[in-house]
Amino acid sequence: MLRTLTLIGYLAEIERRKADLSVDESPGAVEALRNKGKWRTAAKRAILQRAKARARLAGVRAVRSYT
Amino acid sequence: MTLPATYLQALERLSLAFGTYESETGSPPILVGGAAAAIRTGGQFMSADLDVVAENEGAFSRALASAGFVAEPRTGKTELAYYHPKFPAYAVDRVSGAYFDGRGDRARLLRLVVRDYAAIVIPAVEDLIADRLGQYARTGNADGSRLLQAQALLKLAKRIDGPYLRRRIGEEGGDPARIGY
Repeated sequence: MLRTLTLIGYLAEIERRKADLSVDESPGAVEALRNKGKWRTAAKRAILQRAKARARLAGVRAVRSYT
Repeated sequence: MTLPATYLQALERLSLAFGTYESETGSPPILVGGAAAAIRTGGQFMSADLDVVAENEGAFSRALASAGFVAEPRTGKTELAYYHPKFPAYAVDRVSGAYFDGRGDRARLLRLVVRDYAAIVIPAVEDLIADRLGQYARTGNADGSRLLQAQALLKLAKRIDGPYLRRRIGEEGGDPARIGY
């Protein structure tokens, strides 16, 4: 039997830990964590580019990613 | 920073597919990679792709279709991505092969119930840290984002099984000393 939690409860616990630990979530810190894309496969790049294009077409916000 | 509402809604749809797949095959798909790390860090960084280990491709395809996902047009033999029309900014990408090539301990997986009895399943934090450090090593220690991701995961982990973590980092080709282990 796998350990089971609710997603909402788990995310709330993570948020509490981030607050307790004063985790830096400034734009610069978040950007540093983002995969810079240089080592992505061509297939993965294509998948991310298509997701961006779909988002643009639908008028919704695309997830920032380097392709 | 938290996970966007649309991301959580997409996960909810994905959880329905996970349930269908598990009913058919007896074992759950596993959300891995950046998406699992995004959940384990509460959205500290985000990824548009939802990488899933599901060994039975046909069953996974059927499960996704039953939850409203559609396959992208195939442009090559290995193109296996799907998306949900209501959440076009995200893509589901099936990862071929066994869970961490058979080296990850499936008993350590975490099941996260999204709604009612539908759930997603993610790796143990030790496996995710090892995966990030392995990828960091494979870039010749040039992609610092992977090391920072491993450090972020470690920082937020409530408990760490040190021996298991060290073993898994070694198996993934990483260096435990990079995170003080």
